[in-house]
Amino acid sequence: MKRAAAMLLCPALLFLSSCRAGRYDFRDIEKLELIETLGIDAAGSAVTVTAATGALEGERPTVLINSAYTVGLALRGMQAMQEKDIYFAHVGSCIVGEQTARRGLTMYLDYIERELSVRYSTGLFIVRDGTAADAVSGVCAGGSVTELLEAMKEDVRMLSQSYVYSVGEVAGAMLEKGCALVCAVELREEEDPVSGDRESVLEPSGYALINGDRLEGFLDSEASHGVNILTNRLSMDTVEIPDGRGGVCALSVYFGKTAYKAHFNGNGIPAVVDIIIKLDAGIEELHGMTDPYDDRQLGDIAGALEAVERERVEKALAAVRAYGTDYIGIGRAIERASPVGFSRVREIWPSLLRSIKLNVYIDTEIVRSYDIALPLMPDGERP
Amino acid sequence: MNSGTQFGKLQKAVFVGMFSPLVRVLPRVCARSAGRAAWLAPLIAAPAAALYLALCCLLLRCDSGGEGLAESIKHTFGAVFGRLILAAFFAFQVFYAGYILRNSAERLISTTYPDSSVWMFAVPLAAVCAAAASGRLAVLTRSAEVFHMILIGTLLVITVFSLGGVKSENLLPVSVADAPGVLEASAFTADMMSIAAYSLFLAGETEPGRRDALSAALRQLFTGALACALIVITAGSLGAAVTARAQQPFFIAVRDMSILNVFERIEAAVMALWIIADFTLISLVLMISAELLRALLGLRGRRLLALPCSAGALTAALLAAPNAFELWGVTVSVIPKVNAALTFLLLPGVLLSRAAALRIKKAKKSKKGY
Repeated sequence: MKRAAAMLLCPALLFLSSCRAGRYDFRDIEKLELIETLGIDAAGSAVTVTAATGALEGERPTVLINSAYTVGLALRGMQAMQEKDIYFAHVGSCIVGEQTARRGLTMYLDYIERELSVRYSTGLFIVRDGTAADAVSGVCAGGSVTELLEAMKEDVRMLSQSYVYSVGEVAGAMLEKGCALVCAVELREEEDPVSGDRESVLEPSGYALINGDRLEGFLDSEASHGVNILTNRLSMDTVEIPDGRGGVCALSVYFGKTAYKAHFNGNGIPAVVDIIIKLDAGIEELHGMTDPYDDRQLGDIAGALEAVERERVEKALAAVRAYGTDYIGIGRAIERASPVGFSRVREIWPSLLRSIKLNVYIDTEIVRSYDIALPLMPDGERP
Repeated sequence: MNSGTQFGKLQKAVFVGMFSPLVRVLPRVCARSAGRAAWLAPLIAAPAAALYLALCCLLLRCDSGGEGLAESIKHTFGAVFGRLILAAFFAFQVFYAGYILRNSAERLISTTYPDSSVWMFAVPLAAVCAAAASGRLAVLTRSAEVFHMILIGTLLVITVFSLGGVKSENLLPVSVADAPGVLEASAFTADMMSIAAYSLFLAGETEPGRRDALSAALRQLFTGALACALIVITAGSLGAAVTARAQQPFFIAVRDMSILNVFERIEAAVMALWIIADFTLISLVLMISAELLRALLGLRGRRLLALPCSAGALTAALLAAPNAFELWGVTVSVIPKVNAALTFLLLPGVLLSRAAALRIKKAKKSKKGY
């Protein structure tokens, strides 16, 4: 009796634990079209969605474009264009056109976050001076937009050009700070050095600044470098600077740390914020007569590096002052250092931002050279 | 009555069952009340909940002579008033079993099977739980030991692979200004953890031990640590603002998880696995309901009574709320308030009165003896 009951209960448990195969949830991988990149463009009251698969060896990716009043309907409509089942669980990147981002991101982020199959960790990009449809179909005409964007995620981080924030991170920043940074990309025509054919490529183009939920502007590559320094996202950066002796010196900035210190006035309001940046670099190349063992000469190089990085940081801070929006998260950094002091001004922080004096202190240090210490030239010719 | 089960094993089964409401409700509610400081709430609530349960255990074991709580309520408060008290606990237990049943179905629908209906999941789960609840407590506690290992193992894997995504700025800084929110979240957490106290109705089926109160208290502290880990994983990776707005924040965090870039999209398996926590909790609550019904009706065995209780729970599951939004309303307003009234007012009152009555009875007996 007990065995019979157990045998009857087993299928129920299997059913509840989803361990069942049948028409309801079984998907044959051969019959799936795995969408990996989504592009979103608003067109009047409708939305155009461009979906691209990854590319298998020697094959072109599949690109599907459909318009509807909502993202969900547009995606569902794509099914009619395909024999295979369209599957969105592997979407890794989402591109939004510039004009669409200027109208507001909320409704698109809302769809992505509500949709069960798309992940919060999906990388978000905004196409500068272009549409997502052009970017996706343009790149897919000669290659794979999915692979390009996946490679870009790693490249921009390694080169400190910008950073690919995920849909979840952007939504979180919009909710908590009222603003967000999104990785900007630009569509360019390039000539293939081997075949000579012209092809479309997407290149990183700094950061897009989101205020509220709308795109407010872009930061160029230099200012984006500054943002990465200020947000402690500096990974590895190579800076070319004149060595002051007619040569060029290439430095790899491999460590950066930024701290914020607020000075509160008598009313408990932060009047001055000191931004203290520590940068460590190594010498990658020396094209000239510089002797790194000479303290004065090494100090000159460090000074030149400081000037370059200061300009980048000031550019990033200029955007904060210009838009009166704390993209960098200065408020959060101050809050970490003095939570009680900041709690009194948390609500009025955005309005304080334009009037607060931001002092930047940069301490650069050339820590080492690699393999070869002195320039490769005869001793007599060395300085 | 005594089935040879140790009281500690019963508490372990309760702990397994607690996984279900902890994951479903706590990250969202705590993040909404306390923001970044949400993770502090379980750490504050756990010692209070542990102390409360330990005191309840001590009061229960005090001179009980092996009599179950439900039975002794009748003896202490009389047939009519005692039955009224039992009816209050019984009604809530049946409704609570139905409410978990409904939430379990809603979770599977809103995270994995969007086109399904509630009854597709609620009916089979109610049937399985009815079968478990009509069995011996020892069988369920032994199963819970296996489930305990599975769930802890799963949670450990999730924790290890989620830590990379946890950002300190989502959890810190915490200041005095967060205190009101943290206290509100702590009160909710303590209220949720007090659900373990209902297991005392099954204590009559367990072997009394000298360290029952201690083991129950330690289990509550462990539950608090688990709740803290769940909030750290969820709010630490999604941020407090998104966590407070998400329907199933823990499973969203799991959805983004990748194990060494080899295993991805494991959320369906994790969510399905959580059905065993639902199963354990519903079965325990149905057992408690059956025990209360047995005492109410003055019958000898409780096992078959689990079947009408399951039918009642299934009805409650289907009628608890017309949609998921109102079900959330039940979660944050109805359940905590009714539970607080029962566990923090009625149950201690009952236990204190019962202990006092037993003491008086014992004193009278010893007087007669002299």
